[in-house]
Amino acid sequence: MTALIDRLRAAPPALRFGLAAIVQLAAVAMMVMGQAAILRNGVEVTLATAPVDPRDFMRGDYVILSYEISTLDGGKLERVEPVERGDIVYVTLARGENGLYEARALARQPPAATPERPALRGRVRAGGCATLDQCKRISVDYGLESYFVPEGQGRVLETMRKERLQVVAAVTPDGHARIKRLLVDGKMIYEEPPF
Amino acid sequence: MNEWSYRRRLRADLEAWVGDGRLTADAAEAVRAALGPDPRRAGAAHYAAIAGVVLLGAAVLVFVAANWQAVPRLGRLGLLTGLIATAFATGGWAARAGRSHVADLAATLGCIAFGATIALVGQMYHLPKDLAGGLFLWAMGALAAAALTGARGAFAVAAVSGFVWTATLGVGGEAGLHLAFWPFWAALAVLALVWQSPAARHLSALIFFGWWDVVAVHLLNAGRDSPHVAPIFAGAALGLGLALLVEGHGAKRLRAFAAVFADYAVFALAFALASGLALGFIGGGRGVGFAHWPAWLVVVSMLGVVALLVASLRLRPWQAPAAYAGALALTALMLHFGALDMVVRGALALAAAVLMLIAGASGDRRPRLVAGWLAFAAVVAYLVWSLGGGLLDRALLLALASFATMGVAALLRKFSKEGGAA
Repeated sequence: MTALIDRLRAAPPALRFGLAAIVQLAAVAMMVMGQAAILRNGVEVTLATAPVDPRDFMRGDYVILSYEISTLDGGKLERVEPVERGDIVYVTLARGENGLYEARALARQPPAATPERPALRGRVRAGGCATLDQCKRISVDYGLESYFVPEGQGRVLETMRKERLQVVAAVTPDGHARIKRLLVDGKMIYEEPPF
Repeated sequence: MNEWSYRRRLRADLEAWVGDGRLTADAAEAVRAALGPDPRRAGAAHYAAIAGVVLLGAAVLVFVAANWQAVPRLGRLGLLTGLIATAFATGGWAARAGRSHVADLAATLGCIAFGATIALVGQMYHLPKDLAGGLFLWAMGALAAAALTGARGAFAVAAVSGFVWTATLGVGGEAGLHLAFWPFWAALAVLALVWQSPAARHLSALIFFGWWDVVAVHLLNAGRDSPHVAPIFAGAALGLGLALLVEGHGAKRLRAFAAVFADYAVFALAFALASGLALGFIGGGRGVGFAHWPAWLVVVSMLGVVALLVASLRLRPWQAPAAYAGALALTALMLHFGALDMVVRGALALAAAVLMLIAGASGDRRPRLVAGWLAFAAVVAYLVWSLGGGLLDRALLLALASFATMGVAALLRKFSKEGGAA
């Protein structure tokens, strides 16, 4: 290790500083490409949501989005498996009568998702159940719970009636999802391009 | 004494000795020549420039948080990645031109911009609130930059973001001991060793004990009976024991690292002593004894004491490690039996603080002496204000403590005279 660091120190400055820049820029590029691929290629699902408004010290104002599918009642699902807090789970969705997607099944293994019945990958936040009859109230995070807005605009969303706000998310076949559009009364107010 | 203080003192002494006629001018010149040229030292301008870079980095971070829509997000991403590229290009140019301070500043700015870019990407794609994940990536990127460029500023960015990473997970109660922090810290320590940089040594030691404190907070939050002071005490014991062992035996660069590490361990011990007194006072000593400690903390503490005893058997002078072993043992007893009697707790704490003072005075590390005085001040404050009983009882106890301490001073003086005569 010491010899390696000594050899690094002996390398030309342009090589050392260039490599440092490449390492950091490559990390940024990998993050951006991974997220953009979800937005470009994912299946779109529209979800009912309700916001609250905090601030992240590095990323600024955002609204926390809580979805109807964030809290699942096992009794209302077609299929459910016992889960524990912290488990990775897959929630199968299907379009409801009002056009919004609803949860239909909860599984610990990735189901065979189709464009009509995509599956969202999430993590159980609270309310795990050891037996099926205990699976009454399971809270799941999908990575769609934060929406960053320009400074000061979070309050507008926060004070809005929850029925007016919907989110269109892009979902990949393996269940990863990102917010693609934000709708108020069915009209788009924010759209997220891949880049 | 640090390198600069030593050189300044030696130059003044040489001048005085030549003036007194004790040394010839040629001999003085030979000593100066043996000393070699002064190492490069950062001046006031460099420190002002560091402040400027930190402020610029803060401006960039706040700019990202503002989520300003007048510049499209792709434009903002381009600005930040451009800043990273420009900063490292400038650093490379400056390093080639021999302007190492400028190169260091440029790499530091690049690393801060890297953190801002991670935040921007999280903002662009509305990634869930994963502060720890972002900080981990930031720390790794800055660590890589530090290893590649040798920039102390990049090292500082890595150390700070890495510490906040482990603190975020630890305080949130998600990580427990968060052993994933160890390889990261080991990488920082290796850099500090290889570079032989005082700043890197201090940062490494600081974030190690910071990690220990995060563990303490985690244990406290986890609802266990283990008091906050237990892991701090155990960390101080093991850190001090191992550091003093290495300080006496290791290679030169390892010894320098261990010496700084031991300084912070002594401060941690002083903090544990003061916290133990305060907790014992507030909680009446409940839940402080060893029975409430997780077994691994007891083992770690005992290992620290054993390491100090081994150091006192093998090192010359042996007084400092032996005194610290005694201080640790007395502090442990104070924590364990604290619930029984507040006077006993005060007496044990006072004896531990006096031993810390003796240990601090028997070496040439001034920070350890300062830590000893801080521990002593905390104990005196406890005896004066927090001890139960009437004021006359306290005055009597303080007077007895004073006589005992002066007795120790007389004994030490006698032994040091005999040692000098021998």
